[in-house]
Amino acid sequence: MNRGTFVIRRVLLLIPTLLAIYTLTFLLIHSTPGGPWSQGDKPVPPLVMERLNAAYGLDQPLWKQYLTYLGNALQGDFGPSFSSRSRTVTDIIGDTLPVSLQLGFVAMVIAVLIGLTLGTLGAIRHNTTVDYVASFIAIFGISTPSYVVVSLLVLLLASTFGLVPTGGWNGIFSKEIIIPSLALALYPAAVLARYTRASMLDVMTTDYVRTARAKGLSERSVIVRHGIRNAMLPVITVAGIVFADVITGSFFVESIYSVPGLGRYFVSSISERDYPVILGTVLLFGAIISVMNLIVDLLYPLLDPRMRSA
Amino acid sequence: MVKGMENVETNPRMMAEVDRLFNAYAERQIDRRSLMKGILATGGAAALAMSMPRIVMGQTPDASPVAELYDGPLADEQVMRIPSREPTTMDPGVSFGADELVVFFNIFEGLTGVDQRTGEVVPRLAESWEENEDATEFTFTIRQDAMWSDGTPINAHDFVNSWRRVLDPNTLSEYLPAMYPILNAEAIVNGEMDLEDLGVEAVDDFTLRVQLEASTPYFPLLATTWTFNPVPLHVIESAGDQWVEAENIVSSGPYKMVEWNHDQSIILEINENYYGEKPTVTRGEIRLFEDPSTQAYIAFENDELDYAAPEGPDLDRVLADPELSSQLITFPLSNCFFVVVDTRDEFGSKKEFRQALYKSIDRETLTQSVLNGQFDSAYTVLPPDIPGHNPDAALTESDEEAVQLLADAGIDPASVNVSIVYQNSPARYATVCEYLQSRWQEVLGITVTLEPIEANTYIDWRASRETQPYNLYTGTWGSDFGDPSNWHNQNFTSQADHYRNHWQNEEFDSLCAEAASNTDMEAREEQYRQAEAILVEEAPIIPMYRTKAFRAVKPWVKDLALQPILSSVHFRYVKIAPRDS
Repeated sequence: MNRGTFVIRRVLLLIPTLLAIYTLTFLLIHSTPGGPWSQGDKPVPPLVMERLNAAYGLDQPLWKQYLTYLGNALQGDFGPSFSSRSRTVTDIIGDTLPVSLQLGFVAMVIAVLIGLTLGTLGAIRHNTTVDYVASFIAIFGISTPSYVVVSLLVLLLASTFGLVPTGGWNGIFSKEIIIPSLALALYPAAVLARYTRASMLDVMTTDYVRTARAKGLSERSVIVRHGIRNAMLPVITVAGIVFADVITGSFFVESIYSVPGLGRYFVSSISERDYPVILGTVLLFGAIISVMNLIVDLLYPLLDPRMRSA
Repeated sequence: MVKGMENVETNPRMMAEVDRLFNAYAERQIDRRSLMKGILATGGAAALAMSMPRIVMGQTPDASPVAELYDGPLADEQVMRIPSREPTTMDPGVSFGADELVVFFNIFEGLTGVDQRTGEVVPRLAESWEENEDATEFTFTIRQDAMWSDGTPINAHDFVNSWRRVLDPNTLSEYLPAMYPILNAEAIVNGEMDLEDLGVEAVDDFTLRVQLEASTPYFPLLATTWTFNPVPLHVIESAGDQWVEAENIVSSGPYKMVEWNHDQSIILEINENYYGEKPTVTRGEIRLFEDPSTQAYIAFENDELDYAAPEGPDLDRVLADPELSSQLITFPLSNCFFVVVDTRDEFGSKKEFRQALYKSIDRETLTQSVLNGQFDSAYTVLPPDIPGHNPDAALTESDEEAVQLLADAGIDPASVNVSIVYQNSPARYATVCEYLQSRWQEVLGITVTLEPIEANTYIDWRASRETQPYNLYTGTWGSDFGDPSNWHNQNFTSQADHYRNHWQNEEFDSLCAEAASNTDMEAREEQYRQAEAILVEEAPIIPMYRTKAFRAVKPWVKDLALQPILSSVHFRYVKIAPRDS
């Protein structure tokens, strides 16, 4: 199978994947009790509810709502938002996705820098204090949930030392980016560190590294040109998935730090029964994760010549 | 003739329902949106308007309503920063009255408004009004100099068209029953009449005549509701649903919205075209949090906000810190939390038993230790701000007397096994009931079982106590207006029996009935004092504690006027002093 066919097949696979996601989500949200207008212990007046339902098509039979939304979504219309009346789902995604992407990107850069450094150090200083410290940081990062990290950072950096604000968003080049990006970066950094370390340990004992040493290369060249490069293969796989996680899984950090990103809507729309926003965000996140996986698969051959012929 | 709001008639059933909702709101069982929805469900927009408080709680609750205003130096930058949440809609004609209210109060005006310092209804876009003899028709004179923030004049036609728009099915107003007191409004909503039949008419550009379904003396108060605010139809025509976004919106109040960064902030600045005096604060920054009650205080502490309403652990911490607590405005809320006793019950039917329950509780320990000092002890039912409040009626707390009372009534404590029902949220209810249980078991030697029920099911549960038996449960009441009839006549007389304790006392009933229609205010108050004494002595309702409001305000914020209900920051009253002063 050549690469073209491979890509086309993978892209086509997106269609049934997203359709399954849509169908499952649609069924789940409509089988959850409650509705967008009836929160609290008293419903809105029946007449008002009837009108709202009619206006948003919620009085239609379910199969019809299913098809209508699907049809509109295919044309790029993800519907209105029930909880933010002057905006459509597309508006909300347009407002919030760039924020989540920027935050995710910064977090990922930090994660890669920290993760690769710690992992490599751990491997080449195997079983030394450096290795133990790096391992400790990695374990801390993996076992501490982001909402704890962000709360700790707020307490430390904002409340105690007053270095940065306690919340908010002001773009990538601002004080406000520090806490949420660090909080988001810790977990992927730890994951990358562990994979890098393990992979590096493997690679450093291979024959070609011994050969490289034997032909008199400096230790630095051995590590950079022969070690890290080959060790990156499994790391890249993980990094792609982790990046999708960072973008789509940032809701705790976004909520706690008041970052106006998509992650917040992903969660709040569920409690508000904001059906179109739920569907819109779930589909989008589904697409992001699928595409990230695809990109990872496409990157493989670039790094590993053996994959090119496979 | 501009009329005050005295002698407002109330519909007790409706008011009772509204009260229940306010209580639930005050207790955080429901959020403001649910509160408003519930009030609407009772058909009670009028009730809501009546519920608006008349007492202003300023920085010095004990001072006279028009306390001395700040007269010192002002900061160069008159900016005030407050927290809120992302509003669902910014359209007053559609809004249910949730998080957007804080913006409405600052950027929109109606015919009338509530002065936040005095709590009185004052003219806004109307400069005056007259009513006919039976208060079925009001004629408002609109200010000649009223205009939108884009300079377009506001006239009587704007009101007619805006009010019709609320009733228009396409507007999808969630608060349209607020308009029902207006002639034909309900018929229009039900599709029996046309929008043009609404009982509102622009006699000329500056005269608005409103006809009502029935005598509605409180209409000027009702007209302060956001639903009655005129909206800029000339903008809505071109911008559609998007008219509320910052790039389109024009407004009528002292401020205008210049930025709405969704999920981040809303920025208000002075409306240069406002007819009235320009406020001192030139810029209001409303920072949007997902949950201000837990997220805003830390930002307040970090000097990112000038105002916050701490709750829970934050409040515990603030109260424990002398410096932080000095920035706290605290005002009592007009309410009472009590235990309701079923007087049909084997033990509850005995006055001695009820008094023993009253006397064996140490309220100071309850409010100061168990509840961290965030509440006031209640020894009587009526709160201090309500005429008829009678501190002399309080029973003495005494373990010995309580034990003796049981003995006098021939009750063997070992044979008593009662349950106390309470709502499972807020968590405080459980804390309180656990304390009550331990006291009653220790002091009286009776057995008390705790029976939490889901908060959502509480209202139905209580209603079913009409026929079903119980022993004890926790109940609450909060004032909607400063009159004892709102308490005694509406809840505790045997006719009302709002709490289904099935308590009957002829003297109490007749005192309340006489007092309610007594025009001699002093004699009336005395009658209520006597009634209160009977209620406390008989103890079918055992008062426990009252809640307070806690608002953290930076010391440089001056003259902030806060109302206990619909409590919101109105920037127009505020002045910002220099930080070092």
